[in-house]
Order: sequence, then structure tokens, then C-alpha cells
Amino acid sequence: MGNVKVRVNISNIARGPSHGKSKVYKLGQEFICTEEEANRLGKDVTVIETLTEPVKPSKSR
Amino acid sequence: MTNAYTQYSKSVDSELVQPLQNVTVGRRLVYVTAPKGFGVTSVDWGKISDMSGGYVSYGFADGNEDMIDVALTNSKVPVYWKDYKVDRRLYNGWMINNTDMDVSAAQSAGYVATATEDAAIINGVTRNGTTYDINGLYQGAGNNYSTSADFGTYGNAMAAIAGAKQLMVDDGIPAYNIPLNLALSSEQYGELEKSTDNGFDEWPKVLRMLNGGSVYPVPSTVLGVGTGMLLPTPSVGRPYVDFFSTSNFRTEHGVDSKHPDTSDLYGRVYSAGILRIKHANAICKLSNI
Repeated sequence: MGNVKVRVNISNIARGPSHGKSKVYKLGQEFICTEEEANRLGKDVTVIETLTEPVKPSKSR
Repeated sequence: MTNAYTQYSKSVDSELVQPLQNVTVGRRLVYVTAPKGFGVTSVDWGKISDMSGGYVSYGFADGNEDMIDVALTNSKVPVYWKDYKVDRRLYNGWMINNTDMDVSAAQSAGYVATATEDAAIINGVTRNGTTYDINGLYQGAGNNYSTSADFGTYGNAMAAIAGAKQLMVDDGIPAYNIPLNLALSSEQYGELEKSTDNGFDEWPKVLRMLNGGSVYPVPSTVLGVGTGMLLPTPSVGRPYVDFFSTSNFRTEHGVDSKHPDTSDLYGRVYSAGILRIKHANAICKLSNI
């Protein structure tokens, strides 16, 4: 799964790792996350852009 | 005969209410209004929006009034129901001999209808599993603590509750001073129940953080695995969210008119009401636990 840019639709979303400080994103703010996380957040966010991953050049033998 | 069926329905109702009250979770999470009558099919109500900030000065000045920003909403009131059949001979036995009434069919139907109402209150009403026609508490929450906090690890439940309370307080909900209820998907409830570290259980600490509120398990079919939510208890939560009830759980019975003396008894158990989230920021979902 790739990454997406999303916009927050609710008052606050706190995100972060389990052992670290969480960051709070407020209504209207945007952040980049995985598609999986965007799916989990559901309608709390709107996907505004799907980010294409840079294509790695294949190694020639 | 109508009177006999009504009498039978009343008898079933009296045997049904207590067991259903024991299994319902949704009605224990929110303030439930007195039933307004089954004929009430819609309700107008106001969603509170934020006002501008208050003022400080050495005197009062005119022209600073805000209108209370209330978005008027009209909601249709859905019905939660399930039909069932009662064997005619069992019914006749109850009529003639006054034998113990078998309410198992009604009770089973009642549990299903209760689960439907619970799902509507706790999560919402959806037909396709993704789009919600009516938001429940979880779908309508204004805050989301999505920081990874697996309840299987000691300390994460406390961290999640602390984080959720902080989000609510920053939105003007006095989460540090009012009793809060914590509703958890059954798996996370189990993890919290057994969470311990060097003999120190996490459960009593979590209860202390709820300021007198309780922890409720919700079937994972209603509230998905890895999720939960924090919200004010019904005693203080009425300004933020309530369940506008038009009918408590009741039953009705009738027979097929083609065979009035021998057909099975057809029963229906039903309730009606709608969840009204007046201030969404008073609910904080925990979506990554």
C-alpha cells in the first residue's frame, strides 16, 4: 500500500507511535499517512491526494 | 380475543424487560429520554457549535453578544424490531391452565432487536458497512485518539485515556472533572481486564481516571476489534448526547385470520428512538488500541 495525503474532518486526531509523543492534528489540517491508516481513520479524514512512490531503477546484471 | 392477545403481550413484556436491560449496552452509555410515543416519527433538535471566545475587561460593553450557534437538525426516528412465532398449543396451554409461559421465542427475538438498537446507538446504522445513514457514538465522535496504544501492553490503556481526556479538555469538555464511561470492543476489554505489571493491576487505575464512570464491553460485531471510546456518563452527558426514545421494548401478538383458532401466534418485539449527538467533541474514539 502507498501513502496518501489526507485532510482532517473532525475536531482533533492524535497520532503517533505507542512509545512516543503523539501529535494532534486539528480540523482542516493535512498530513501524510499510509492508505491503511487512512482507511482506519475512515470519514474522520478525506484523502486529497494519492502519492506515487518514486520508481526504483532496476539493476542491470 | 384481542384482549387476550394484549394480556399475553403484557405478560411477555413483564418477563422480557429485565433480561433485555441486562444485555443492552447502548442505553447505559447515554441519557435516554422518557418514551414520547410510537407515533412520533421525527424530531427537530439542535447541534451546538462553538461560540467565539469570552471577554475580560474592567466594565461591560454592548455589542458583543453571540447568537448561540445551533444548527437545527431533523431526524427520522427508526424502529428496531424482530418478528417471531409462538406455538399455538403452548399459547392455549397458558390460556387454559395458566401454565408457565414460554417466552423463549420472544426473548430470542428481543436479544436480536436489542443488538440492532445497540449497534445503532454505539456505532451507527449502515446498509453497506462503510456509509452510515445514522451516526452512532463511534461514527459521530468529534475526537479520535489514533495513537498506537495496544491494550495488551500494560500502561497503554492509561495512556490512551489520558490522551483522549486531553483532546476533550482542549475542546472545552471538562473531562478531568466529570465521570466518564469507557466502551471497549470485547477483545480490548479482555486485555484490560488481565493487564498487570509486577502485581499492579491496570484496571483500578483506569477506573480512577474515569472519575466514577465504568468500563463496558461491546461485542466486536458492534464495535470493531482494536477500537473503543470515551464519553461522559449519562448523569452528566445529557447536554452532549442523548437517545430520544419514542418506545421502550414492547411486544405485540396476533393470529392468522384464516385460522383464528389454530394458527400459531405471530409476535413482534420492537423499540424506537434516535441518538442525538449535540456536541460531537464530547466523544473521543480510540481507534488504534
